[in-house]
Amino acid sequence: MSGLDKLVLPGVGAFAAGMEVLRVQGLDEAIREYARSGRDLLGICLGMQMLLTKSFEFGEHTGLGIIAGEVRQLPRDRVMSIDQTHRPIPLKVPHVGWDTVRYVRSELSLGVMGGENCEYYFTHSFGVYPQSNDVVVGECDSGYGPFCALLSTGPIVGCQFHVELSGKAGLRLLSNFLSR
Amino acid sequence: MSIRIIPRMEIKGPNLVKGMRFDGLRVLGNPRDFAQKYYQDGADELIYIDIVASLYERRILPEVVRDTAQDIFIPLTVGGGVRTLADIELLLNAGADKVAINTAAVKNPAILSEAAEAFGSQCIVLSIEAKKIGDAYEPYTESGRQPTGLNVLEWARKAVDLGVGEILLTSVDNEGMKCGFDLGLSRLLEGFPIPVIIAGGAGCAEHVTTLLKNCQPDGIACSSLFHYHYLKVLLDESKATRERVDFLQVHDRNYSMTQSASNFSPLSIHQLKETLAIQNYPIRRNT
Repeated sequence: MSGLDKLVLPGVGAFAAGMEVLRVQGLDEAIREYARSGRDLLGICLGMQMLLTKSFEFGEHTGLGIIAGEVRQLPRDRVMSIDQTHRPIPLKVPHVGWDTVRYVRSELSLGVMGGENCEYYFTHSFGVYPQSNDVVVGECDSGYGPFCALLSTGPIVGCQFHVELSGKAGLRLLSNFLSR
Repeated sequence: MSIRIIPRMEIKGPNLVKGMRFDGLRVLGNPRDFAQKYYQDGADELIYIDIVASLYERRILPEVVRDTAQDIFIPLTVGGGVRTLADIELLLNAGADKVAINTAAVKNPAILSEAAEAFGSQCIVLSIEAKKIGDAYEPYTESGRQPTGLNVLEWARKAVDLGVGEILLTSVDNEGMKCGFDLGLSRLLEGFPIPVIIAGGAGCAEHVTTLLKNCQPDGIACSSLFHYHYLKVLLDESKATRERVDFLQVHDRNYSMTQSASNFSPLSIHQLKETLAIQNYPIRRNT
């Protein structure tokens, strides 16, 4: 990865399987080394989750450890709404669809300003919970309790939503990452 | 979370087609032209489905998927004649984000769990095409031709246990008829643990609001409602399409009926979303 100045780590699927693929190819250490060198890195969905210390998806698995924190299941016991017969409708897991990201911190280099109120496309059952709130740029909370939707610290960026499936808002974020 | 507004595009070979109750299919044009319009105009997702593929033991063409997916940055669900894990992999590699399965899952439910395990639940959609038989709803396969003997609710519950991530629920009776959604069918999967997309019957904005007054789907799929609006738009932009529309006006029974059906008012995705937003439904408006 010596010739690279931007790295995108996308991903769908299970955490353990994703990490195993990286490990088998020796990419886990290569990505850590790349991150240590201070160059730009963007993790998308599972790619973001793998940046964390560990995940509790089907057991406990070690991640890349580039961001301190954990990946935990979204709560399955929340109520979304009440239907017409006053039956509670439970929240659906996985969390699939377009949702708003609330910016808790302005991140100019991503073109992300608090209150812009953009929606992005999510599809996941596990959420990212960093150890330090300082890395959290945007949160999503549609009943699951707030989880980290967008994180950024130095050259490292991670988004839980699929930036490549989030229409023009997603392309803007991607373009801002590429041009910083 | 926003209610997804999803153009449902029936594909036959390289063409976008539309019929009534999956029958009398007529060619509307190149799916890519329509898909581009839908993406630009704020569609939240697209469904590409070859509704006759299973009937003829074919599979939706991966090159049609590839051609569309390359410059569309919203989720794309693809279905039609998907029978094996290799079929799914081929379509995912061509740019599909989710794959919808109907006939093959009825014949062999294990394909759902095998697919969910191999590719993740998030990309496996069970397509249920149901007909009202007496007071009950029965899933059909092969473009609404083959009864399955199953019960919609039981089949959907079983699919959740098998690891399916989403359900596309279509009314065969209302499909292409522009008469409104089948509310009884739509309410069957109310409060379901995974997302449910309702399809079949939208002919005007009011049909959509009526559906939303009666249940809370995660997504709403419409075809004629959008196709015939954008056909006009494409017509205005290109002479080649005018010939297409002239042809349709003369030869297409569906098209002539769409002109005369009193409650059929095609509109743009943007117009539908504005209508829903005014009524305070959660809709994604910034694109």
